Amino acid sequence: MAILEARGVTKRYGGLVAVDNVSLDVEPNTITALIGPNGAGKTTFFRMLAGEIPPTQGEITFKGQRITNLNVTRVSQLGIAKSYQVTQIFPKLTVEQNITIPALAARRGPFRVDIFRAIGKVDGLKPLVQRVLGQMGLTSRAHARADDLSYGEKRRLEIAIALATEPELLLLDEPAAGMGAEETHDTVALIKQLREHVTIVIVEHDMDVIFGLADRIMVLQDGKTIALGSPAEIRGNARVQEAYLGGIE
Amino acid sequence: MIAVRSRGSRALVALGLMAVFLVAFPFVMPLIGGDVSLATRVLVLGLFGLGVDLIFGFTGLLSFGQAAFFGTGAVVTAYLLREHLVPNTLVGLALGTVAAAIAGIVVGSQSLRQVGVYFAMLTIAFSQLFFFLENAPLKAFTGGESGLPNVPRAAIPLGFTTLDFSSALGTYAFIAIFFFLSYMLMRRIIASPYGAVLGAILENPERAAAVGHDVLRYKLIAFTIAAAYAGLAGGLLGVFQGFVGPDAFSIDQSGQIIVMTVIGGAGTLVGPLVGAFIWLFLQSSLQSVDALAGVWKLILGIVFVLLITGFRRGVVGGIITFLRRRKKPLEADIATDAA
Repeated sequence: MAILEARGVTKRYGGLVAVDNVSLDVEPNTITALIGPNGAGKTTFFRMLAGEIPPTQGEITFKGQRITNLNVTRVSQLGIAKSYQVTQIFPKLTVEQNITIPALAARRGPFRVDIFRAIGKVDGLKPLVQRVLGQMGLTSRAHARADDLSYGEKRRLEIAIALATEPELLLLDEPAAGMGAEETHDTVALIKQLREHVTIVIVEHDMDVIFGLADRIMVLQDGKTIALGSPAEIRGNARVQEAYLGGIE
Repeated sequence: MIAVRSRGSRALVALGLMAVFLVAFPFVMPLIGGDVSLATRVLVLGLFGLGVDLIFGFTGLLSFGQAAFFGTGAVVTAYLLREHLVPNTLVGLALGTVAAAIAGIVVGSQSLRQVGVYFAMLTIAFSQLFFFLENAPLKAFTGGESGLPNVPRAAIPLGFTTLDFSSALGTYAFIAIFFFLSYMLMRRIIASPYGAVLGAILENPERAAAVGHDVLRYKLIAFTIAAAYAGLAGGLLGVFQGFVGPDAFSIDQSGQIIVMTVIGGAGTLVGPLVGAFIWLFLQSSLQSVDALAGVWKLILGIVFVLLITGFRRGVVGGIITFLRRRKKPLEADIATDAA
């Protein structure tokens, strides 16, 4: 059974149709990639999955529950987390504190006035923070200020923040953006390990990343789905090659 | 190497230092040209500033309307005590604090959906509304422009005897106890999970919402706590000076408390106290020099400009930064939590 179902999702901005009747089923513990040229509607579609913007038409359900009318906070509490293309960290907090913030949302819910409790007393918080630090290879940097991290470390912290909400579905928006070859390779290895715990949907421009990771690939062009299938099928798809991949093969 | 102290023992040290300061303050003040009454006023504004620091320094909400809550607490407490509607000073203060908190919920729920300058403008508008209500329609209760005179001094009847705080030092002690308890409570709030989420809202409100925190409700509770602190400080002001005037509601008052917090150091909890001391001490010293009669406000202004440009994180923030630079960078990182 699919964990995420999008049915006929459309987003219009005035006369412009950014996403046009897109449907997608995502199976648990798989990695699904969204690719397509700039302006294909990947980011807009992604923002609708995270509850950042509502679709003009269509339905999105997560674990059988309709999420199209929920805001980003409610969607996050249901178990969908997103890591952003432009790093969105808490710059003056330490790495550990950065990860503690989403972990608090996971462990305490969306709102609580627990002013007489010590942070360390929140049930299961410490193990969760330590686990995420380890998963993203940030344990040795736990006490560094987020501001002081290298670019690659900041990108890993970006994913760590999403991961610390204990999501069942993780949306990764260009996790390797701006990284060098070696950093990209490390990031791919880290994301592969996550597959055991969490379902992933990823938007990425780097084709090596995509074909190294994805179980399924959806290709968007001008807001429409032009192909959906395994990496091998996408590689062999004439329409995709013509529209997008061009000289890669 | 500096020994790494646990968070708990660091809190004890901070509270101990604060207690020592509060005991010494009224006796030190006369030595430097002030008096007990000036010391008391510093604590009242320092207490008001604790709430301002919570929303401004720790959450990033710049409200220019905090005088509305300061005034509400002052008038409600003063009215109840003057009319002998409550059995003792404590009940009067409690009801004044609750009234200010309710006003905080009302104003916060109507203004916090806006952010930045729009939020600041709305808080000014609301505080002007309160000022108008105080001055005209509610004149029968507030005394309007002439204010409420003859507010009784602090006294707590115990049946067999009455705890009397009516002397200058007694009033100081009464207010110092409130200040200490309020400071202790605010430290708890900042160090709690709730306080940590406020810190995330200060740094990046969009991401705080995206990871599952209901940002608006967090802000509303912080705003309400700040209003309650303002109300308690206002109530204590009346008990201390025996009079509550319309200036408690004024936009001047709202602006002053922000400036004091910024000069002292926002986000440090002791910053507002230091800022209130600098402000009131300079004001009283400059005013007492005859040669400066016409220009003391100008000099005060210049001193503030210098302080704010010299210490971008306030006097307390500047001191903390200086002390950290002397440690190794890594240790400075470890010590980042609560000042």
